[in-house]
Amino acid sequence: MAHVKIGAPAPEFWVQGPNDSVQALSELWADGPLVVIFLRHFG
Amino acid sequence: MQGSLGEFEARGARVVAVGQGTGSEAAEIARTLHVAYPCFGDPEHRAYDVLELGRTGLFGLTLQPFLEDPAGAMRNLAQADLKASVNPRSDVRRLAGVMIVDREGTVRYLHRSKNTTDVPATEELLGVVAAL
Repeated sequence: MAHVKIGAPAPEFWVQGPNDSVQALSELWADGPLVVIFLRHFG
Repeated sequence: MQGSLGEFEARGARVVAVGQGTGSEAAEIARTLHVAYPCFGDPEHRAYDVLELGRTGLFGLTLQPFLEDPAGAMRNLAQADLKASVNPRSDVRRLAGVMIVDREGTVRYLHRSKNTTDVPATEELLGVVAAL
């Protein structure tokens, strides 16, 4: 398991978009700072 | 966060959310809650595991929030969606987190919530983004 730390490269995260298509979050931070909120759960 | 989205965008940052269901479930929740930023799904919780976002127990789910942060607990309760809570892909014990990554792919901020009401202040996040 990766130990993600401040100052270190972010690991790649594969998530699902609205049509359940897979997307790499790195595609989003390539355009600028990305704030990612990891929710507790849906609800 | 919703009300401050423009402030993040004015500083060149994007905001996204990741939840524990599928992408289509995330999109549905975003629509239901009128969330203005993209919401993605992580149905197998891989990102949560990689970030080592913890889990709380029964005490942390029930009494602890009301003892330590009654206002935060009430906010959570007011926003609860029971239907979403019974999603089999969603672990109600899983704690939240926030990560900020710069355009070079470096982690510049990482918050792992210690309990269900532990949420970083928007001003703190804006400060991190402003410094990038």
